[in-house]
Order: sequence, then structure tokens, then C-alpha cells
Amino acid sequence: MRTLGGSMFKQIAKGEKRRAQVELFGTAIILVLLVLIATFAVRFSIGPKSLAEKTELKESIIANNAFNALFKATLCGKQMQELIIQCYFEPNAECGCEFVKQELEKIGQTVGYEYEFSATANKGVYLEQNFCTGDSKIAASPYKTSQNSILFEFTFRLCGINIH
Amino acid sequence: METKKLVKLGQLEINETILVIFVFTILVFIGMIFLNRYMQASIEKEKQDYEKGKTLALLEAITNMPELRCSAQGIERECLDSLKLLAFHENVFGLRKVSVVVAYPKQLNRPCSSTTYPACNEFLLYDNKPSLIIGEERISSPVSVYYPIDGVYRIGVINITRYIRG
Repeated sequence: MRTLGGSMFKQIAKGEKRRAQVELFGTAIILVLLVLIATFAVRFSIGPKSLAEKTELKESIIANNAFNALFKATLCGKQMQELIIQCYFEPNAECGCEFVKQELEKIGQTVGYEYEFSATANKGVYLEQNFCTGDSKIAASPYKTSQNSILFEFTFRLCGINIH
Repeated sequence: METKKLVKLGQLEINETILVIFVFTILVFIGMIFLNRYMQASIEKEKQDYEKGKTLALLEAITNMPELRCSAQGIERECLDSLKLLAFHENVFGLRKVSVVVAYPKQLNRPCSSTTYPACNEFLLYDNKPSLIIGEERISSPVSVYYPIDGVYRIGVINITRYIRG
């Protein structure tokens, strides 16, 4: 009787041990699966963001370059920046506001980009051009200068690039 | 009789374990093949991203190179000197083509050389095209181009084309 009881106890203990091993194995598999899922989740959540950041950086560089090139372009023997300031003081001069507006439009068409430009004098807008057809806009760093105690501020936003 | 039964049970369990290990190994093997393919595709994508980033970095670097940037009396300005563009001969940009096309005001549509300058519109700075390419990727940006002889600034477009080798 005692021998039969001992054998049964041994068998039960063996079964318990095996069940514990199986449960441990199951837990290990679940942990491995969780780590894999977490790795993929991190991989896919980071990926597209860095791509968007790169695109934004590229567009920001292009916006600043475009603004700089626009401002330096020589017309009527002067740089565009000087002509835009002159437009405030002498709007009806030979190369005055109308001429500047026409050239601003022509530059966007010729070079191949859509943009929005505004010039303010003492925080009042006196020249504003918007050639954007879409919504997305990347701002270039605004440029400030003063002349005859008037503070000029120029802003440029690039909204489409179609450079051929 | 009891021992024989236990031995048979043991053999069955060993067979079962071998089968499980065999199936598990096959699954691991298939998994490794897929992982390897994914890793290869991922490395290729990383490489392409790196090359894209490098082209973008070149856009910044080229426009700031002292060999190309315009300066007057030691003061550097935010533009490219057209005479320096004409004389530029470096060989450092890998499998790429770098050119500056003057877009505004309109110029004669022809390549710039010592004989055609300044009545021309395209400065070819660098071109290293491999014999076999499967594609091209281009980054363009407007730049200010300075003509020191006339003392005028024009608007150009710098094009950096990356050749994807086949």
C-alpha cells in the first residue's frame, strides 16, 4: 500500500514538473513575441518621421536659397532688395512697385517655384504677392533691415517646386 | 511486460521530441530566410537614404565652397561666382552630375566655356556617369550667381543628379 502511494506521489510530482516546464517555455515564447512586436513597432514608428524630417530640411534649404537668390537678383542696375525698399519710398518710380510685382511673378514662373512674399515697413504691409496654388508652405528665415529709421521686414514662403 | 510498455512510451516521446525539434528547426530556418531578405532590403534602403542625405548635404556644401562662393575684399557673400564656376575642376562628388543653370534673366541656351562666357546659361561643374545606370535622382535649388565682370547677380538653379549604378 505504502509502495503504491509512493509511486503515485512520484508520478504526480513528475507531471507537475513537466507542466511547470511547459508553462515556463510558454512564457519564454510570449516574451520573445512581445520583444519582436515591440521592435517592429519602434522600427515603423521612427522610420517615416525621419523621412519627413529630411524632406522638411531639404525644403527649408531650398526656401532659404530661393529667397536669397530672389533678393540679390539685379534689375534696373539695383538688387531686388533695394527695389523693394524703393517701392515703399517711391512707388511710382521707373522701376517702382508695378515693375517689382511683375518681375516677382516672372521670376517664380521662369525659375519654377511657387511662393508667397510680403514686405512690411514698421509692421504695416506695403507689398504682398501670393503665387501659391497649394497649401503647404515652407518659410525661409525672415529678413529685417532698417532705412531712414523705418524697420523693413521681408518674409518668404515656398509652397511648390517645379524646377526644370 | 510493464518495462517493455514503458520503453515503447519512452521511444514514442523521443520520436515526438525529434519531430517537434525538426519542425521548429524548419520554422527557424524559414524565419531566418525571411529575416535575411528583410535585412538585405532594409540595408539597401538605408544605403539609398544615406546617398539621398549625402546629395542633400552636397547641396549645402557646394553652395558654401570657397572655390565657388563669391567674395569681395575678403567678405564672403551668399552667392556663387560665375568665373569660379567656369574654372572649377574638382573630382570629389562620386557618381553624380553637378551643374548650375542660369534661369533669370533668360540667357542664351548653351553650355558655358571660356569662349561662350558670359553669353551662356549652363555651367557644368562635374559629371561622373557610370557606363551602366538604372536610374537617376535629382535635387535642385535656386542659387544666386554673381557675374563679377558686369557686377550683376542672376538667379540660377543648381542641379545635383545622383546616378544609380546598375
